[in-house]
Amino acid sequence: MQFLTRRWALLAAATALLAPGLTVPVIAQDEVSLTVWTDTPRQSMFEEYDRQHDNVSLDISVQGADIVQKIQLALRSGSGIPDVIFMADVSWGAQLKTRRTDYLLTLDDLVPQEVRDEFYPNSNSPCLLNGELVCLRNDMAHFIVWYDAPLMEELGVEVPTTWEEFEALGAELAPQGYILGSGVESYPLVNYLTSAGCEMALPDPEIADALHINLSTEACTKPAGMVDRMLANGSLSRLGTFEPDLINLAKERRIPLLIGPTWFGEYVIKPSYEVPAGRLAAATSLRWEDQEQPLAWSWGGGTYGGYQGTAHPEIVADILMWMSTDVGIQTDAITLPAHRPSSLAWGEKLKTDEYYANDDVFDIQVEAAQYSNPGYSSLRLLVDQAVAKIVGQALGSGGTIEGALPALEAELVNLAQLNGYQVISD
Amino acid sequence: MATTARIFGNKRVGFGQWVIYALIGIAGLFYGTPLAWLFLAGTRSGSSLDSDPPFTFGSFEQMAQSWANLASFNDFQILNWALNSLIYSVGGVTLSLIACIPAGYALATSDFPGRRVILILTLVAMITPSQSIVLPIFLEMNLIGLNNTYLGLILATGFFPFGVYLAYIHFSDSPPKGVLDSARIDGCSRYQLFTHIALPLARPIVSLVAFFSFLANWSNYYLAVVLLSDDKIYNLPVGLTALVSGSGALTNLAATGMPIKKPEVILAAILVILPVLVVFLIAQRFVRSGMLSGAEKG
Amino acid sequence: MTDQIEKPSTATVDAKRARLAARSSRRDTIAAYVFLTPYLILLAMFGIIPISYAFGLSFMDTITMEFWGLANYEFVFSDFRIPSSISNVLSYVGVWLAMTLLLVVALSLMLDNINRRSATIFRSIYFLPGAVTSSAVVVLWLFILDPSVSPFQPLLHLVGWEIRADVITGLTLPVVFAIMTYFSQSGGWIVVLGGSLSTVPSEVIEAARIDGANRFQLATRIKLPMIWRSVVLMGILCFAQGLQIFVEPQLMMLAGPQFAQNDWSLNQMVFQYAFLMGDFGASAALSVMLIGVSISIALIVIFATRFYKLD
Repeated sequence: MQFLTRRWALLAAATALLAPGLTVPVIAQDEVSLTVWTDTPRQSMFEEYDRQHDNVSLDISVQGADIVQKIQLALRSGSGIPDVIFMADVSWGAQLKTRRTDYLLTLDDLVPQEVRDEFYPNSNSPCLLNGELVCLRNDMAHFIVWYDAPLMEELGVEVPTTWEEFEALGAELAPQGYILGSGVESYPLVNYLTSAGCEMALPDPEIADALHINLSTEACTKPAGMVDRMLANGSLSRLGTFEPDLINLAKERRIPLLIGPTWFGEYVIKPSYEVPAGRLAAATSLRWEDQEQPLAWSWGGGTYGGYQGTAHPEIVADILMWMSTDVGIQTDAITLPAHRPSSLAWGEKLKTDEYYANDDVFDIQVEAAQYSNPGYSSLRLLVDQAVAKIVGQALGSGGTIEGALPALEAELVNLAQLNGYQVISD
Repeated sequence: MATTARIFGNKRVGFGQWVIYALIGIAGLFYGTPLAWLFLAGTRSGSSLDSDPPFTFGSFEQMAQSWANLASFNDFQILNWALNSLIYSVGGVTLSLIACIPAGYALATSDFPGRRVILILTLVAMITPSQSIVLPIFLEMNLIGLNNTYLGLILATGFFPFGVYLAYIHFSDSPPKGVLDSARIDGCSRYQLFTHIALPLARPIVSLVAFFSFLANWSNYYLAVVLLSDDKIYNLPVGLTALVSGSGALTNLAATGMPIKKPEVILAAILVILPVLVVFLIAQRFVRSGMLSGAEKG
Repeated sequence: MTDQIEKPSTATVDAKRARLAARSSRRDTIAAYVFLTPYLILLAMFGIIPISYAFGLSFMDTITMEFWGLANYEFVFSDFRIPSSISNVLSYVGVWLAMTLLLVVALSLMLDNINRRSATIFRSIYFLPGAVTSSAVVVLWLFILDPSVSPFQPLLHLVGWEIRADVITGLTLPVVFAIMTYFSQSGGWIVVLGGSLSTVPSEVIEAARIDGANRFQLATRIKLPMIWRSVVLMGILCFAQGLQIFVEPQLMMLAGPQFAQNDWSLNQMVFQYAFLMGDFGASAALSVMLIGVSISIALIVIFATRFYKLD
């Protein structure tokens, strides 16, 4: 049906071997120039694509966190619109696929089902907008358990497997001056709150542009109550994850265990918390006792998208697929690839990394990948910011998170309606 | 401020003077501390910034290391942004001078139909904060295809109604009408009057307009972030913001593997601030004397 | 200049002179417009045209480009965030204005009381924070507001604030932004008021002193009334500028998502409509309303107060 350019080029090259006279016209006609907007870490990967593909020349430009805004401007001016972008935040996908901002290319017919099946389950849920595939996920960022193995041993405590055990562990350690991470940082907070399936703006699988918002259920009050109790007894800190005082506590080995995304080990605990080599270990995401399996939110995980108005949709799709699924390039990616075969190659180096206390850190990340919350999706409203705002106000005025749930629900409903969603709240 | 009022009320003169100095000094401490801290912080490591007392001095090696990290980012892109900032500032200042000085002169020295309307429009434009028309300007530049160009931003920042008003105030009193009239009788044309008589005497006002225009240009963020989308032509404030948000340097958030962390960001901030300080210290004399001519705006 | 050529003479000479005067005044007009050309082009390009364009756009659906009346305005008024951003901006402006009026005036009057050289040095120090702009502001304030690393650590600890959230909830965001703007803007105004104060004739001061006025009386009864016009003007301009607050809350997101304040101020809403929602019509509608307020303030300043020299 459609030709992937790489295959097309191979075909051309093969033809060229047989009939040298044909080479020049075929390659020359296929020389295509495309514009790419990326962040810095992905820049060298795009450059590698450019190097490996003679028929495509990429004009790569590094952008900050304002890509959505820049695309709005480019769409208005009708020029300088990039053909391919890297979206560092999952919400950008939804913001770039609206009536007013019709940017993203639908990939339903361009990315074969086999390729889609190679991704971790639910990893492409931020790329599914009303059932349409509009991007491909670059990396995973689900929450797992990180802990300091020798310290846990020293304290004589077990690594929890359920949230109930987690709370009990906090209650046991808090009096001795230990904390289990931040209780106010917005993404971890959303992870706690959604762990029992709370409907904090979850897209309806059937109805287009409909969100389930209902924060009065036990699925919401149970985790909210847990965080409230843990904030009260001091086992969860009222400091943000990256505030200097929390970092200082971490440096003093006062954080034996915390719930963090997969990239925390390499990019937070090692460099900022300065946990020495041979101590850090991981365990799979936590579940509630009445749950069969965990439900883990994610913190980050970028996606690749293309422009629906591009002159070369096939080539754009090929770039998106190559970037997210080329095992060669993804092996050296900085974070856990969402593409399973790539991630397996990527994980080899973790198994022998002396930094970690155990060699199963990668296997645990892979195991936990299946628990990714399918509700971790791309929305036109920013749930984490609504949580930060409402919970921040509540805690600031001496209230509780559980007490703030009605206000949070109202805020989310307002935001959803403002952004053109139908709200389902039963 | 209650304390100030009370102390002012103190009748003992010698003591009163002492108190005034003390209060001015305390205020000076408040104003001076942040920058003093920032310059010290430029020498510290990320770990030291989090854990050591606020006024710790790091080391020059650390500063050199941060600088090297900053320089290694995208082939020293930050230097490129600094050069762009220079281009925008020099272009914007030059254009605003070309536009403001003659305009102020015309408004002050001759009475012509439309003068009052132009003056009122200038005042309205001057009082209306520039942020409010950034978006409309974008939409218009978009129509004429000047988005994302050096020229577009330079043209936009060349519009400086405050400068016109400053020049207008200046030329209302100087050079004295008598001088102009006698020069005119000597056969000077209207244009020679301006270039030969008025302009040479207008050095202070030219410096003053240039100074304010430079301040506005060098720190231009909102207009620049809307008009520029290609990172190659960013100015320093936009580039620095992109760098900070892209590297997650302040939040530690993004797992980017970039060597841009807090120390580098602080150093970059110093890079943005330094030229303004230097220009201010040089221009200070002009600013004082120029201000005395009755111009009023911060 | 034409009015200077007025001498009694015969009718013919009068007519000739009138012709000459007319020609001279026509030349004056042409010369004036030659001088004004570059500025007028810029005024049209970056003042009149964009505002008119935004005005037109605010009545359109910007996708299909069809006229849809007040729909954009209705959308803006129905946005549940607008009332809170209005109250945010007003409380911010209130705090900032109060700080500026009290502290800038007090410091200016005090500086007028000490010797010139020291005063110049202190004015420079007060101006220094004005050099800190855009993202450098956030870099700096992120540290200042955190008690564990703040250069004002002892002060924050004295109040009992131990963590950043304490400081922000303790001060509240309007106050935080007001302090930020105060630091960067007040230095410039102190220079301006210093200029105004230096125009107070020294004979007036001397006379008052001989009459037995003390320092405080001199400052409040003699100097302040003589510079009150500048003070009022400062207040009005700060008010107009404060309504447009954008950069400070917008860049809070650099400090992390829990500090992000994307829809805190009205100008941020203008930005949000355009860039997050792609709704340039709604953005233009809110923008037009804000410009309307600013222009009204400007017209009041110009005509009702006559602060500015028009003739």
